[in-house]
Amino acid sequence: MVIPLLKKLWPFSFIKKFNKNEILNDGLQGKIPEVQTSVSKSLQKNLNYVNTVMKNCQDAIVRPFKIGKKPGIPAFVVFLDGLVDRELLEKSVMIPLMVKSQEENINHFLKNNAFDYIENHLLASTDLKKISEMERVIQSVCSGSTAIFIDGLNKALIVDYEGYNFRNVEEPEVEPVIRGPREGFTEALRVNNALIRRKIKSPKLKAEFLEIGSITKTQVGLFYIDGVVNNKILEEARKRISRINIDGILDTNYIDELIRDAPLCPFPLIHRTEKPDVVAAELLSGKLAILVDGSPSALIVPAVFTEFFISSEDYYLIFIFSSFTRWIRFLSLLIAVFLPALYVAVTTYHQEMIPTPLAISIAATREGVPFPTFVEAALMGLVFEILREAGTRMPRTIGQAVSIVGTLIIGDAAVSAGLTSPPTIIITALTGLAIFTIPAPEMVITLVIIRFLLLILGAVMGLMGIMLATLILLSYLASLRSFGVPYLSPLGPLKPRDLQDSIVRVPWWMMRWRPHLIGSKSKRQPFGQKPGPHKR
Amino acid sequence: MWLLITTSNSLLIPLSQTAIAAGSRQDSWLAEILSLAIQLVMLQMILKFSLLSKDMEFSSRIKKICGRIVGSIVIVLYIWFFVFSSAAFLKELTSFAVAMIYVQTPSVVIDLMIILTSCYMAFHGLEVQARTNEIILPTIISLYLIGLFLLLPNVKLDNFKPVLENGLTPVIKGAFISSSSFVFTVFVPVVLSYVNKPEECQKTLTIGSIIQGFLLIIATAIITGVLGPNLAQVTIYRGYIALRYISYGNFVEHLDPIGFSIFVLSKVVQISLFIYAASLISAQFLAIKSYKPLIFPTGFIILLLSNIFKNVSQLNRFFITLWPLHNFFFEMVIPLFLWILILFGGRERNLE
Repeated sequence: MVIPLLKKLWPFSFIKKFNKNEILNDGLQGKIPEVQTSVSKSLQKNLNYVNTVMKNCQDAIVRPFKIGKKPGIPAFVVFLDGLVDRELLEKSVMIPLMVKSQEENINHFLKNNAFDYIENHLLASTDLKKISEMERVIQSVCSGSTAIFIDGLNKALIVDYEGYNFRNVEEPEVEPVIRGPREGFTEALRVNNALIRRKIKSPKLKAEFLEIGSITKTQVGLFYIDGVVNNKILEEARKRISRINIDGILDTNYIDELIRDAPLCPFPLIHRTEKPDVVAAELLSGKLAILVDGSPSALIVPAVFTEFFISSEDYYLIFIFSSFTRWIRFLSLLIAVFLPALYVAVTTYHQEMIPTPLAISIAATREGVPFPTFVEAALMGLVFEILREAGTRMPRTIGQAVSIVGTLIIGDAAVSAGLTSPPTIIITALTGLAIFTIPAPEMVITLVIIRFLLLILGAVMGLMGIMLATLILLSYLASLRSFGVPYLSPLGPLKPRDLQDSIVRVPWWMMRWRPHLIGSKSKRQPFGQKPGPHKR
Repeated sequence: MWLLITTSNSLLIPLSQTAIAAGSRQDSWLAEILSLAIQLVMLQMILKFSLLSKDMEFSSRIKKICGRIVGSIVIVLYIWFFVFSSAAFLKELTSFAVAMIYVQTPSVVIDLMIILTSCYMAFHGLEVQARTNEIILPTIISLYLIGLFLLLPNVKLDNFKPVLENGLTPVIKGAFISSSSFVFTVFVPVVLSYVNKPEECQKTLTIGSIIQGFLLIIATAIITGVLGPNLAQVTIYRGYIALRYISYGNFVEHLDPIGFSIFVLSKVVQISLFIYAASLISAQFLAIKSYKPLIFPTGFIILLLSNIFKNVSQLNRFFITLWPLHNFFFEMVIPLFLWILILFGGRERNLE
């Protein structure tokens, strides 16, 4: 008596207990009057079911017809308009079933064992499936297959004549290269799959497909090379992907955010790429690739920090150039993150550090500037970020022009109006340029945020603030893991052998091992591949 | 077990301590060589002792050796050591920063920032700290070497003469004072049960301490050579002052902030490792599952405790008088005491 009353009075009773296994209402189950799980022998029942489920889906085409001579076996096909290549469908399904089956000699077979004959002799399709669960039939129709129902057969025949339009294979715009393959992924998983297959022609390349998304039923592919991949990481990836329970997956980022190790971490813990050659290279080093139908970018797990400073081009240029450009990139990383903070710290707290003539010239240019250095640097940094974002969002043809004009005019006018000093402009421009050397766009945004935080600390505490912030940042980075692999991996736990492909790029004949914690223990190549003149 | 590359622990070694010049003047480099020898002996001893029972947690090991009551006293002494040492380090760092750069900043602000940073680093645990150190250590050593290398032209060989002016006594005294700052030996037994390959410790730690010993010898020699025995003895921040002598082409000069950075980096790492050790032992002692809730209280106790030193000169005097005794008590006396208990107390069998 008392307890129910208390329960009613309990103010938080509206908070329901979170149920993990709650079935998401996908809008399908509620509308079907009688739940029909398997395909019926009666064609009429099946037709009714399909009509009910596909009600108001006006792109669904249901075409009843008859097989064989009069009276013939009643049948119907169902498919979605636009997803199916109609010409092919007519040629290889409709014509054999409706026209060829009229022939005298065939009719004899049709009478005896019709279904067998239809399946084995009439349907000229390379890919034929027989499915008896109704829901799966509807599912495959929704993803572009064609279902054939025949009276008396308690299975539906599924043929694949997908014929929708997709983008051509083009060079991805975010990962431009001077040398090396230029093809990039498209939005169709099948095409992407083929692009990877064409690079790795081995049955060891495995592709596991899963359907994720209770409504969208998106195909997600997990690619790896058997014997090269680290089995622990593979198991972990499978577990994490199969745990996902969401209504829709529209891009790889959905998967990224649902499987990453640290959900609130600003750093990219999973590498993304739009290039099949990068995916193939990463697969060969023992990583896994996750592709999603409808997204041109592939996820590559596990990822380490240094990987985001490596461009695919590093492997297509001779190793001296690529090592050098890597150092340039790491230097740019330091400039992009630390330079404004150091400038502010040095000019506000440690003026004695600047050589005297330089200090005097900086002081002279700063004369008449109303703001302290910090405000100057922060404002200019902000203006630069605005310009950058505007340049990206604008139509490509005018974007570049506008951003160049904007930078030049705003910079020049700000100096001549006495709002800012030329050194600040130089620092901001250098920082802004430096950050563009980093190939991974996800990393760039994170670094920009960190740059602003460091700028504040440099202004508040000088060098000491920068040092302490660096320590915090480093220990945060060291605490991160990507699928169990330490994020600072070749440097963090120092693996001297893995430095071969992180801070330098050694020539190919020296790259004998896969990354220590990532790939399996198998070697990439035997010893003694160093080229040289033939010895007599 | 945690993956820990133990070389990173050599960061614990004080890189910026050259208190030696307080005792043995122009012969301090000799004293440092001697001190390196003493340190190596100490390290071997402590490793022998702590590898006896490498799989057991520190506090239960101590309790097993000494019994409950004496064991508790020893554990509390160890906690005191870590807390007090970090307090001394904190005061050293803060007073340096306030004296040299942040003249108008209240020292509490700097204290607080350092303690919060160290607590954050300690919070992540030993493994993350080790990984962080593997990046910081090469940075510090390269900065250190750059500084020393740039100082080379300023070294005057006359500053080293006459050799052994006052006989051997000041050299030996200096060696003992210098080797007492090898507080690392107290830290090793505490964390040894969390290292995944304890047997490799012996090698890596010996190499690490030899490297740091050589750095210290070179640094001492160069600083004495640059400043001269008198100035080196009188000034408190010798290395920092010496870096001001660098001048190349009127452009590469005033590199003292580099010395400051080395100092900050190494001290903060030391403090964070000591906070970790203190809260780890406390957690084991109080039978708390995780050390994490104890980190911030430990940090604030350190912050308060650091105020028992009133000013820089008092702290500096403390570092060459009481501090060596205090350290030797933990580096030599307690391990010897424990070892004797193991050998004669017949408790050796229980350890296996």
